[in-house]
Amino acid sequence: MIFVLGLLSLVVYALGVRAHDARHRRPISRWQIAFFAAGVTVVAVVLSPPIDALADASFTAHMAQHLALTMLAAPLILLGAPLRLALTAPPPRIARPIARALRNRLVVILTAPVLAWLAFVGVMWTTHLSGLYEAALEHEAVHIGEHALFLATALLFWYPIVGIGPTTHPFGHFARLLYVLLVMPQTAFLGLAIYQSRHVLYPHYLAARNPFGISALADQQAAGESMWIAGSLIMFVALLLVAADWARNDSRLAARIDTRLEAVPLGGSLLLSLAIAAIFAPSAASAQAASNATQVREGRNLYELRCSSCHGIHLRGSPIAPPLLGVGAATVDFWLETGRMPAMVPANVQAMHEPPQFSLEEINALVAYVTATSPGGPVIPIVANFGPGNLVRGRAIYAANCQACHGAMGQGGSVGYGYIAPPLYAASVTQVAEAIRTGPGPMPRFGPSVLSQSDLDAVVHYVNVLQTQQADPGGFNLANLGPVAEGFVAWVFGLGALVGVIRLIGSNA
Amino acid sequence: MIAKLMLWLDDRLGTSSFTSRAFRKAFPDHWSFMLGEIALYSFASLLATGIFLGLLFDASDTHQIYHGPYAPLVGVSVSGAYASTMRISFETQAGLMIRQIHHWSALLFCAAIVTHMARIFFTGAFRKPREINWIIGLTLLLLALGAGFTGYSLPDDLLSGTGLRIAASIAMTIPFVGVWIESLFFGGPFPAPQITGRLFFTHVFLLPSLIVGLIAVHMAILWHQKHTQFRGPERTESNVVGSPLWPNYALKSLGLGFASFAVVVILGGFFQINPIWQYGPYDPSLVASPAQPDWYVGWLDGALRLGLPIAVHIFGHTIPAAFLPGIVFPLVAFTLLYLWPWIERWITKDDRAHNLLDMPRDVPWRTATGAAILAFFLVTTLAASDDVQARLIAIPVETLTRVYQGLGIALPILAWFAVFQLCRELQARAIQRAMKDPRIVEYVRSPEGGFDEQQPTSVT
Repeated sequence: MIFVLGLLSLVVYALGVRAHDARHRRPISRWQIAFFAAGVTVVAVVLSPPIDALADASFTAHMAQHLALTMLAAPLILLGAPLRLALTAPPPRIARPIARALRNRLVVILTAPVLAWLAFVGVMWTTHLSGLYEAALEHEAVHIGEHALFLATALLFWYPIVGIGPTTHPFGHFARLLYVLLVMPQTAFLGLAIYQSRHVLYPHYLAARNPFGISALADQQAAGESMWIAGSLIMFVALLLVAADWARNDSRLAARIDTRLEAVPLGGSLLLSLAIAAIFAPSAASAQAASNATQVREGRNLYELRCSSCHGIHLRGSPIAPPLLGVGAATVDFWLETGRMPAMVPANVQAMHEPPQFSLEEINALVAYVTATSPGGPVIPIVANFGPGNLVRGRAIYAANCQACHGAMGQGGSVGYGYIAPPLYAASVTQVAEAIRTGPGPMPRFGPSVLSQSDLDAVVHYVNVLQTQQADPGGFNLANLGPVAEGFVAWVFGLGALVGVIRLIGSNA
Repeated sequence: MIAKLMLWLDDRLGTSSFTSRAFRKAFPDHWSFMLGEIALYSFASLLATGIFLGLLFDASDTHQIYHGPYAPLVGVSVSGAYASTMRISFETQAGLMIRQIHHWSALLFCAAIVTHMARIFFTGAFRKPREINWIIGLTLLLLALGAGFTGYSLPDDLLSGTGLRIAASIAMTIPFVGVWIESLFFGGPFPAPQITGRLFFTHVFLLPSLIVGLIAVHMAILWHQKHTQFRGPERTESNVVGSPLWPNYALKSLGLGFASFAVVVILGGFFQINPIWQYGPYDPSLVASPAQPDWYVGWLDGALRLGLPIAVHIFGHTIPAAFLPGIVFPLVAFTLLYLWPWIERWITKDDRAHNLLDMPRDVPWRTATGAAILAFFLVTTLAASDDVQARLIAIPVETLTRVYQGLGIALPILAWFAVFQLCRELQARAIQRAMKDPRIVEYVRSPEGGFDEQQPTSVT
């Protein structure tokens, strides 16, 4: 039975891989296929009749079965990215309803990482500490249901950690580390609780003949130990992998910024760099044209899956979202890179800076698709890093054009009618330049006729100075909240401390 | 050594009879009597750091090219005031720290005065014979506010310049004479070139002299009238129970002084305040935003933000909407506070002198009224940063302003009734506690004519 199910899922997966490879430039990697196959195999093997029989007689074997199911099979299956495949492999006619289902409000709520974490931990504690476990041992139907529940919550739990595939819950690496870290004490404590119990928790095992020839209590202690040690070890490995992924992601991002910066010689004179840019920009563009076609195709697929339900087909817009005709590469890149799009609630809520939901390749593909379908609009600005002379000009431009909304320190401000000018600290240099050129939301747009390229470089440089806190020689900047924070500190820490002193040296009567 | 000095002084000035009496003067030990001293020591710190800053500050509006170490401003034309403040901050040994200590001391000075005043108000210490000191104290608060405002306006940066422009605009809202009054203070329509010199004179000479003088009078009157005290065993209207000035109280106070200096030095050394290099030099074509005044002016700024946009037209004259929150509100509020001792006497018909203090709970209506006044000032102060709050909690600033407008009406009323009720409950509980005292018994006369001793049963 379980083998049939396993085989069936492998066949469906293989069909999906073939369909994907036929449709897309980049084939599914061998590793991805191998992970999925390994995951399904683990499920099939541990749930196979001989192992199941063993688990029925020995708590330790049963624990090993559960651990393999929830901590090995689940992440392996997810590394195979089956959900992403479900979106990219079938024709849009089938993929679109799937995408819509994934955006369903209920699905979105139920897949929130916090809920997934609670479900995983909750199922783990309640099954072991309630009559459910004993019931599962006695009744086969309950047992199958329990295993399905374990696998389902484990898949939900591991999904944000693995971080591959479509998601409506962007989950940063730091959050992932915390998420895993917080599970470690759960498995450890439950394992220890089982280990330290002085009596057999599940009477079923007293009746069963132990296959390893040890007493039911000793078997139970071994089960507790394996949960404690194996659970912690696997989580520790997961921690290392998440950290490694974080580092890799960061260096990729840095590499991308570097290539953009290298496009213009650093420290050159304004005239020279403009001349070089004028010479090289067209030729660089023609060199890219060849690889562009596939990128555009990939971008269109992505657009149709993730964007078209609001922005309409062929970028034409819809009642709930503006058309994207002629918006330019900078606009698309800015909204996607700052995670403002795809928006969950596109209506009146101002989108804020979040981790991007697409990979860098996917963003590039979408940019390519939008600009190919509807040319024009601002290109992605290239920001050069000029000397300090330009900082003065940058400060002047910032004071005249930016600080009235974003604040003198770039701390952000509210601009009325529910809009806020966000703090500038999270944006990259390129993103700041893109925002200036494209004017996202209520922000005015500063085109090349208003701010020349050198003006742009200058103001971005000044924003970078504000971002890196090079301007705080006076100590802690109190979140750059100005007199508001200063007054608060004066009352609470200044007068508060001194009132504490006079309470000490004075009397109460 | 000290004894020798005392003898030397006594031989020439005959001081010993005064000092020996003074050293034995009794100071009440209750902690709340030291709030005023925190203000005093903050003022001492302000004077010490202010002398340093005053020697290095250049109160000129003449523009010059900035050539300091702060890169983003190199080559920019700035006023002498701004340039010298930048020089103090970046090129003077410990200059930035002294500047920051000065500013933190000012915030602490005003906070301590307000807290001290609240103590005086809620315990009824302003009653006869101390009305004069109440008036002097209130005047000191106003002078402190003025010194703070003129002080942070001196550097001629964009933030304080925005504040000055608001002040000039408020002055102009006064009917018929507003423009003249604005010119009287600013020397012409804003931005007038003489303003920094006038601010400097006001900030370093006029206001400090007045503050020093009034502090002296304040303390002389205090010395002459002697301290108030809370009720307690052996405390009457005609004595003062406490520790002698020397050595007990003087050493305590000295310790408090050191603690105050420590607090402002820690704040000044570790917490950046008023980074004028980030605000940039004042430019009349720009406006700082989000812009808040220092906290003690916040109530005025907040009132302006909450004021309704209703302009009145009479006799061909326009009275702008800002007149009501900007001029009438502070005038009414401070007149009310100045007259409070007489208002209270008019209500209570109590004309006696009081040296024993009230517990706040024992005069519920006064405590409730004070709480309502504080609540109103709290709302206006908080409203002054509504734009910052709107950003932090991500709700429209218009909504928040409406909320504060509502709170400005509701919170004082709510505070009045809540505090009134609270005082009554505390009173009842105090009586209850006293009734449980085993020394208190009730005598009940029996029908036979005898008396039975029993614990009190009910309290009304």
